[in-house]
Formats: sequence, C-alpha cells, structure tokens
Amino acid sequence: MTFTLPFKKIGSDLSFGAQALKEVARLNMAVGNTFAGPGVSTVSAASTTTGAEGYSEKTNAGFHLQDRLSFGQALFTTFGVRLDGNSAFGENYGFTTYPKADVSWIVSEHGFLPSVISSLKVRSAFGQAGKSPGAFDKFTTFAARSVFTGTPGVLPDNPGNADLRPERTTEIEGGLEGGLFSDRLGFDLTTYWNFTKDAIVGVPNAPSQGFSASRKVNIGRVDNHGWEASINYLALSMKRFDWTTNLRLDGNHNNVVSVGGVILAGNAVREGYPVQGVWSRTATGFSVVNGKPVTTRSDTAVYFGPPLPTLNAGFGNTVHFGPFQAYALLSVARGASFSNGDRPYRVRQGGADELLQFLNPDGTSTFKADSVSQYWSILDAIETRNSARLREVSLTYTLPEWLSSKYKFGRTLLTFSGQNLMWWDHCHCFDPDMNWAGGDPFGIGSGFLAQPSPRVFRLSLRTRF
Amino acid sequence: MRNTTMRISVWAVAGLAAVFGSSCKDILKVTDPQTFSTTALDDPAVLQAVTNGVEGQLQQIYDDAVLTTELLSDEIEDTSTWIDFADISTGRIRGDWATGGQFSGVQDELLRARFSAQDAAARLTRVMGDAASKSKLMAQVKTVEAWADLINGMSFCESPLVPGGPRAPDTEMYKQAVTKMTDALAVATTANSPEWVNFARAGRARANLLAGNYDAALSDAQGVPAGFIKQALYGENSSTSLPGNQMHQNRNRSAGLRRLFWSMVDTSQNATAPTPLQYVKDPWTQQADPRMAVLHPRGRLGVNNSTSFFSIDKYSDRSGPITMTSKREMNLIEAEVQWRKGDLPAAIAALNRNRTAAPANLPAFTATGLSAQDVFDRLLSERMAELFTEGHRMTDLDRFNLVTSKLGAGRARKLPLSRNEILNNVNMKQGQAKCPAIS
Repeated sequence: MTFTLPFKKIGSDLSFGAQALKEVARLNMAVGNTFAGPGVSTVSAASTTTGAEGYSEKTNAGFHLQDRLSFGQALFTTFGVRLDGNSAFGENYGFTTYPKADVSWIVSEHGFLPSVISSLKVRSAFGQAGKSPGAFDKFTTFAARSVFTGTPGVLPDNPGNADLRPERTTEIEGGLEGGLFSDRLGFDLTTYWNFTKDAIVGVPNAPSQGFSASRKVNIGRVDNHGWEASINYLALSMKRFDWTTNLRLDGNHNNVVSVGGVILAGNAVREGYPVQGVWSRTATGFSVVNGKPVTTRSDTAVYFGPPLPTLNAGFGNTVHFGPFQAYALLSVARGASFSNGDRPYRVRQGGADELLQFLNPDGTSTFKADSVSQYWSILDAIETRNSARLREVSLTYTLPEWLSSKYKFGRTLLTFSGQNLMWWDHCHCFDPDMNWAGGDPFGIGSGFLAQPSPRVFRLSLRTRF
Repeated sequence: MRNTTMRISVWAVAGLAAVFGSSCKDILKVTDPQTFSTTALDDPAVLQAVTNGVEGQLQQIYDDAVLTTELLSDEIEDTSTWIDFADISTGRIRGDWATGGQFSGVQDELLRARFSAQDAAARLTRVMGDAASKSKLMAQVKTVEAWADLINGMSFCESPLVPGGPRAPDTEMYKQAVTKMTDALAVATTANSPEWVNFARAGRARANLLAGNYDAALSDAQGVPAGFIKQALYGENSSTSLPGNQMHQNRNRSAGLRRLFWSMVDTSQNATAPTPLQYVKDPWTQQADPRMAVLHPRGRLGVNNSTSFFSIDKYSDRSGPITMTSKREMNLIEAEVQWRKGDLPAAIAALNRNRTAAPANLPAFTATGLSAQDVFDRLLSERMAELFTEGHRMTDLDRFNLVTSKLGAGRARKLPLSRNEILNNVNMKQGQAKCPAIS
C-alpha cells in the first residue's frame, strides 16, 4: 500500500504479509555391490544390496510489517518488524521478533557540495536476523541401531533441549558511496559490526552422563567487525583506448566474546579468540637420549591465528583498445593460519624430501633423518595462508559488426582467459588455500590430502542470435 | 476514501495476524520418524531392543578397549603413522593428557554403556513394575552395567563411579563391579537365566580377583560351568552390525605383535606365498602355540613403512568375535588363587586343564619340584597365551609389577582418564590426575 501522507513531499510505502515455509528433505539411498559383470547396472542386479533413508522436516511461519518513508528525493528511511515461529524452536520457547531500520541520504541532491563531488550518498542500517536450530535438535531421542550381528537395538542418541532458541544476529552498518570528477573516480566505503547472541553450540555431555550427540544450547556471544572499501578509477579515456583500474580491500575480525560459562572441549570456540582459531602444541626442547634425537613438545596448545584472512585485497585493471579488451586481477590474502596435515604425514610415510635428503645412499636412516621423523611424529605443521595470487588474465576480441551481421549474429566476443595462473606463498604445501579433503565446511583451520586449485584456461565465444 | 482504505488495511492485518497466530500451533508441530522419543520407548514391545542396544554398546567398544590396552602392553606395538597410537605404544601418555588421544573415546563409550544400562533399568522398572526385577531383560542390563565398570577399572586408572561423579581410582571401580555383579547375579538367578548367571558370576570372579578378594574369586571361578564362553560379536557389514572387530588381522597394518616376541615366531616359511599361519611359540616346549596366531610374510612392514609387521591372526577378519570371559579364564583365576594360597599342585592342575585341551593341546606341566616362582612364571605365560590379545595383558603387567622389566622405565602403567570426561564433568578439573603410575 502506498500512501501520500498529509505532509508536503513525504511518501509512505507500507507493506505487510505472512509466510509459512515447510521444508521436507527425504534421502533414499540404495547401494549395490559386487555385480556379476558388465551388462547390468540396477541395484537389484548386485549380489549384495543395502538401503538407507533420511528424513528432515522444518516449518517456519512468520508475519512481517514494513513501512518505507521518503522525504523528498534525498532522504529515505525504512522501519520494519518480523514475527517468526519455527518448528525447530524448543517446546518452551514461543515466537521471536526481528526489528529492522535503515536510512539513506543522497547528499548530492541538495546542491551544496563542491562541483568536484559529482555524487554522494550516506547510508546506515540496523537489523536483526535469526538462524533456527537443526530440525530435530530439540528432541530427546533414542536411535535404532543394528547390534551384534543383525539384531535390532536402541541406543541413546540426542539429549535434546526444550529451551532451544534461534541464534540472533544484530548488524549495524554504515557507509558512503559516491563519485568525483564527473564519476570518473568512484568510491564505496562500508563498515559493519554484527553481534551474534544465543549462538547455537553443541555442548558435549560428560560421557558418563550418556548420549553421544552434543546437546545443542544457546550460549554467549560472537562478534564480527569488518570493513570494505573499493575505488574505481577511469585512468585514461581516449577515442579508441581507455584504462580502468580498481582496488578493493576488505578486513574482518571475529571474536568469541562469551561462551556463557560453558566448558567446551578443544579450542574451536574459546573466549577471546576467533571461532575455529588455529591452535597447536609447540616444540619446547631438543635433546639426545640414548643416541636418539628427541624433540619435546608443550603440554598445552598455543594460539597461532585466525582461520580466515583478516585482510583481502584485489587489484584489477581493464584496458580497452579498439576491439580488444584486456583484464587482469591480482589478489592478496593475509592473516589466516592452518594446520597443514600433509607435511607431517608425508614425513611419517617416509616420502617427504625434507626426510629423504638426510637418508644414507642405501636408504638407511641417519641421526638427522630420525630427528626430522620424530619431530613430525609429535607436532603439527602450522602454516600461514598468506599469499598473492594472479587470479585472472583475459583477452577479449569483439568481432567487427559487419562480420557478425553478415552471419546474422549479434555482438560477438571471443575470449581467451586463464584463472589461478600463479601464486606466491611461504607455505610448505601445494596451495595455501587448501582445505580438509572432504571435510565439513567448518574445518577451515586444517588441510589434509588436498589438491591445489587448478589452473584453468578457457577459450570462449559468446554471441547472440 | 483514503481513510476507509487505511481502516480496511489495518483490520486486514489484525485479522490475518489472528488467523495466523491461532493456526501456527499445529503448523509448527513436527515429528522425527528416524528415532524413538523417551515415551515411545516405554513400550513392552521395544524393551528387548533397548536391552540389546545396551549390550551392543558395550560390545561395540570392547574391541577398542582391547586394542588400546594391548597397545600399551608388551603384546602389540604401534606400526602406524598416528601420533595417538605412538603415544600409547611408547607408554608416554600421562594423566590429564593434553589431547583426547586414542584412549578417551574408549572410556567415553564404556561410561555411556553404563549410563545406557542404568537408563534401561529405570525404563524396565517404569514399564514392567515389580516384574522387572525378575526378568532376563533386567539381568542383561544389570550384568552389562557391572561389566562396563569392570572393563573401565581394568583399562583406566581413574573413572567416575557414578554419572557426572568425581574421579575415583580403579580399585574403587573393582569394588563397585563386585557389588553390581552380585546384584546382577541375584536378578539373573531369580529370572532363571543361566546365560546371565554365568556371565555375572564370571565377571564377579574376575572383579574379586582384581579387588584382592581371592577366596571369593576362587569360589566364583569354580562355580562357572565347563564350556562356558561369552563373546563380543562383530560383523563385516556395518549395516547389519556395529563396526567390526578392530583387532582383526590386518587392521590397516597399524599395530602388530610387539618386537619382544618376534624371535618367538617360527618364520621359516615366511617366503612361501601365501605364507602359512604362524604362531608365537610356547616358551616351555618351543612348540607353536595355536592360541597365539600371527602372520608375517617376509619383508612385510607396518603402514609406517619402517616396522616389521606381525599381524594378529587370532582374529582373521572384522567379524571375528572376541572372548570376553570363559571357563578357561576361570581356570586361570583358580590357578592364580591356588598359587597365592601356596597350593602349587592345585595351581598347576588348573593350568593344565587349559593347556592339555584344544585348542592348545600342549604337554602338561609337571608340578613336581616347582617353586612358587616357577609356578608364577607358568601362570603368567599361560595367562598370556590363553588370553592372548583379549585385553588382559596390561592389567597383568601392572598388578604383578612387571612393566619396568618387560617394557622399561618411564612408562604409563594404565590409561589415563578420558579428556572428554574431565572437560565436561562439572565435578572434575584438569590438573587433578593422580595417575597413571609410571614404571
């Protein structure tokens, strides 16, 4: 609904609505092993077959109300609220509300800025959003399992939590964007703070208190603070030649402010440090015992750094010259650490150069080789993900219009590009961006058996008919 | 006109909210068809599955308890590339160890099995009333609970005596196991269930032995009938059983016979393909002892590519059962108690009951002229052979004070308390470990 309020130049755009969303996921799996030979491919043609089934159901129902107010052509503001209920919320928890508000002011509309500033907009926003728990996290459950050999059994599974609430994230953002010199130089600056309260964390039971699954609880607070800045500059502009350069920077700091007094095993969530921070035990000494090299390690793990970069930068350049366009993007990432599982694993498997170089010519071990081997049998290799990477280089040729139209094509582009062409790092690994092979997406603090990101060369032809 | 539109809109919003609010109660109800709720399990038709689940949980971790304690003992050693295996195999683990290690998961599951047993016992009482205390189902969960305590005491130097309780030493676990075995025995007797009577009695015999109640141990051991055996069962197929026996022959070549015994294996046929089964020799006759099957084809290395690998062929594959207790163990308990009482001929006679029967079929020991030390040496070697890789060896080395002489100084004599229990039990704190004792 749009109203023109009885005030001069003030507009109101009121909207409301209700929404119910039901998500049902069914997984049905049939596995067949050991086929008689080529020629059959159905599961039932296999000599051994197994099946599995998974089920998840979640319903979210909500109501929202929002009003957007405009004050002339320069000032806009929005107020809104959302009321949500979710089947995953604990039985003792009802509905939740998420308010939001924003304001933007197009300063350049007023005409009092110096002429060098061609456009300027200032904006700020506040909002809350929630993340619901897992579909059945709130239930106390017992799982059916096959025990002994094919006998049905039931085991305690999930301890449940009737008080489970959604995670609530409050974000405050402010920024400005604009252009100088008739928008030849454009800029965009943003800074944000978000605070996640009631973060859902799995707290393990003491094993003596049963239930193997962690109990999902709402605890403490995690803060994120970050900023983003970008500049676009049209450096040269001629009839058949122009050059645009772009610099983009962003930074983020993550911090667990509180875990609500809950003791969590491991160091993935620890007050005063980022989520999934990288921790490891360190070498504390070296001695020779009975002629053998012995490195000793600390009893406790020490903090090495955050798992994600605290600074990212991208520097891109685009050059047009007649029908040709050249583009290059260089990116830099700094501040992230990870445990490089490959390095000690290669040594322990006897296949790493840093071990092999110390072996005798006949392959027998030496004191130095023993030292390397023992060192990597008790310590993790903590590496930095700091790197500079030539992300992309491409050259595009636009076919002459007379040629395209002769064959009844529209605008036709021929592009040869290369991605991930080169990188520079200090990591004893194939690629500092590697993650745990096949691991979950939160296993960002480690890498093992990972393949490097491939170099990709692509020749493409794009046209329209 | 504008005011009318506004009024209608507001009423529409209010009406929608009211309809929405009243209907949401049912909209937001979901059920999980994959699991049982607590109330759904209070059904007589499901109780057998509940008690089987309890026993299955204990058996599921039993092989890991065997593997981990044997790795600490002189029977097997680490041939893997895993730090956790090396930590145990070298005996360098200590109390309040900084990582969970290989051992924490074992104690975690033993403690969970105990909790499951207690939870199931409460459920049986809730559903069956007075009949529960006379049922086989109750006998099953009570016996499993007692066995969980016994294995915990044998493997770990500290445990909580009750869910969420403070640290207690293994000696207290043995005492508690005796009490619980007695309780289980009473229920099993009332339920007229020989299976659980024998399993509880055999467990009490061992618990009494380890608690130092030798006469009671002898009485229980003699009360277990000939031929009795209780095994933990495993399957090759994880969809029809819990994951298989981790002590099986190959086990990714990660742990094999400790080098102390390599010279005791006849490897003269190890270049033959396939290499015939080999055995650790009986030290008294130098004959191959069929109770200690191993396999070492020539040049075979562990997965670390540096240590000779003698696989434990007692368990040929992942479905190989592990004996938890048997009359043969009872014979050894009887022999030990008789030795402690100074009745050396009776001790030798008890040893010979195992030694001269299948599968050993070895010449009998002669009792004549043997000193107490001689009998002890035979008792120790027979315990190793008869209970080979069944999870007893480290307990024996510890209680007979043989860790230093067999494995060297500076080694942990038991596994430390689970790090997961320390961190998540409000009645425990890090830094309060009083064990394991060091050789």
